[in-house]
Amino acid sequence: MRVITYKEALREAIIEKMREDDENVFMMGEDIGVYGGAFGLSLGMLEEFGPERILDTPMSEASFVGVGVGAAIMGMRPIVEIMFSDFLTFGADQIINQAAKLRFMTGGQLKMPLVVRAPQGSGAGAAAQHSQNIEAWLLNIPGIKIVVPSNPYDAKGLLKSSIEDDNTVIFLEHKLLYSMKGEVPEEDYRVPLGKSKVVRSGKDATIVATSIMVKRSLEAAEILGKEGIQVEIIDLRTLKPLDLSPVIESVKKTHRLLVVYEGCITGGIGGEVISQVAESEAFLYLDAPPFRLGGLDVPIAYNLNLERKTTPQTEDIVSKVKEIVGGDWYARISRDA
Amino acid sequence: MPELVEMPKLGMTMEVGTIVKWCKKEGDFINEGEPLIEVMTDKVVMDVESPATGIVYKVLAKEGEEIEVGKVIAVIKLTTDSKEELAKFNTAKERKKELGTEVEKEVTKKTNKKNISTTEIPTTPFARYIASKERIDLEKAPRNTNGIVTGESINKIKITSDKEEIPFLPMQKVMAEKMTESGKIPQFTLYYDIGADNLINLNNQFKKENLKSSITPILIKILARVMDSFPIFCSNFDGEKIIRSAHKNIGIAVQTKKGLVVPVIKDVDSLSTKELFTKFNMLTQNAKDEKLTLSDMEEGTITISNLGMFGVSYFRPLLIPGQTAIIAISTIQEKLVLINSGIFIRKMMNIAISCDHRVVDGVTAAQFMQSLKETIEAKISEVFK
Repeated sequence: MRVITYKEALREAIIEKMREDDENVFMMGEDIGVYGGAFGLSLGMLEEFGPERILDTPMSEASFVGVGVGAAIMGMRPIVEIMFSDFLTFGADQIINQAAKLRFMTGGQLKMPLVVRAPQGSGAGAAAQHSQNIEAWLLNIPGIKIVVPSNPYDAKGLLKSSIEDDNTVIFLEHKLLYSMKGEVPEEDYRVPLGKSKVVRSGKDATIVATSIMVKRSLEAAEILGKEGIQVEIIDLRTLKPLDLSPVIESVKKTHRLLVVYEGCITGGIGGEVISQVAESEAFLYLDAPPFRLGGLDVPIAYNLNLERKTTPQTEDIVSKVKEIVGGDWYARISRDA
Repeated sequence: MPELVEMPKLGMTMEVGTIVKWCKKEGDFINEGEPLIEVMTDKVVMDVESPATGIVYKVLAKEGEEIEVGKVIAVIKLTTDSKEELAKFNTAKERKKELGTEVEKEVTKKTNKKNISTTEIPTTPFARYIASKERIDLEKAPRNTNGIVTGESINKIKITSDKEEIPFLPMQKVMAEKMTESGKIPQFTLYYDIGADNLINLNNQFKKENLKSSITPILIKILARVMDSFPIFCSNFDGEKIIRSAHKNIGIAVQTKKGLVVPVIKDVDSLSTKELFTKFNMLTQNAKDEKLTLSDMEEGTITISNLGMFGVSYFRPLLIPGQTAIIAISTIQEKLVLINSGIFIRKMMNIAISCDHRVVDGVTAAQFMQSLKETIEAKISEVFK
């Protein structure tokens, strides 16, 4: 099959949807036109679709996210690019108080087919205000969907599904994954929202991961496999709606659970996944406490070495899995107690 | 205060015990009631259980060593123990003799044992789930190296292989040794078909009288009566000399979960029928509950083994070394019998006897069995007057 990058896959999804639906699909954001986007994702789009459909906006997320909400209300399918997900705070009112609520408040008379794309994550030496993972802030907003693709195939399939969805979708791309290569078919396809996926089978422990942590978990699984530990990895793909049925089935098989995510460990997706697993039948099958491996509760450092230490790396996943499978967790929880 | 484990007195006559095996080593975690040592007396190998839950802090005797009853052989460290309390045991090897006396003080001081409820054992949800599903006692469930019960530690034995090592229990070991020894004894077996109608009628009659009667104790009483005329069956043989006893001590073979045991009913002829039934039922129940003491199993000269309830037609029993004979009771079944050229239906059973040929010869045994047959068939009412 054809191999392309994550960024290329996203570009294809946007271009194909814009060609297909030239009335309604358009994109706007800072420097996406002439400059081609901060990460070069929209290079050449202005030439193909013109300035009415590839809209360069002023540096005001509050206003252009609002424009997106208005366009969606009027039946268009806007794609709004936030240059760094960190800047979404400026547009937060439009998302939280307008986009997420209007469908409900009008009893379904309005639709909100808005996609807000935002690159996030650390590892690029972009410091504390350009490196965050913001999904935990969004998890607490009813009425939106949150997508966190981990590979090129899913990126394209999920973005197409997001554009076609009649609800607000926050589409969080990982900056370090833009250059990731993977197989993407040339034929048209979709990846449905709200379906997690088992990306590796194993019997000794279940790793639930999102975004770049799926890649690192797969690398960790290779290392662990050589030591005889077979981990099962589940890519959540969308955080809202959250599909945990494969996780519950997996935990019933492996009896151990680790949730790996890059965002700050406190109040993140890890706590949510573990709570829901603990509230399920899988509770009876736990042979070790379910653990989280997340980013430290600190602003991301500018220094690259410190930045690396702030978020889970492959070797951290390896050692955490060993602790859980080997039973050393008991010494840890006894000591902590 | 650390818990001291002393060499226990396992039988009335026991003065020393030999350490067969340490089930735990220093530094290991142990549960209260979990086997700590296998101790061998002159008669049995028995598990000595840990009196407390904790860490095996000191092991003070080697395997194979013979230790006097009451001497300290191990120290169990409880979680509440401080370094100071343990300090005096650090040189304990040198102080072994002193410790022996210290025990007596400790024993009297020993307060009521703490009852560890299952909720205090660190246990994962999965372990509890398996334990409840498969009725496993969590207190006895195997723990992992960190001292906690996990589903994995419980399942380990099952999943490691399709072949499973079954622990050979101390009771089985004793039986294995005895039976191997028995195999070396020159023994012969005689088989007798015996009419059982009177026996059954008597048993039914006792039941009507609300006595807890069964075939075996009735036969024990008959056996004791027949032994009056054949006192050789009241003898033990140690390979050199025959020691005849004035008592009629009859063993009963009882199957338990952990293996075969043979408690002995002593002075059978001194017991009334009712007392005999009570004693018989108590001993068999205690055997099943693992409550027999060493003295319950001593001093038998002849044993009864009844496999009748399993439909056995006839079988050759193996002598218990030291005893003179063993009687095998097979199933009672209706048979066509020729009596004075007439055909009759009679309830019949096979009773066999295996004897130590060094003690009893064939004719004596045959006379004994003939007498037993006659008593069962014709003189049973005389025995139970």
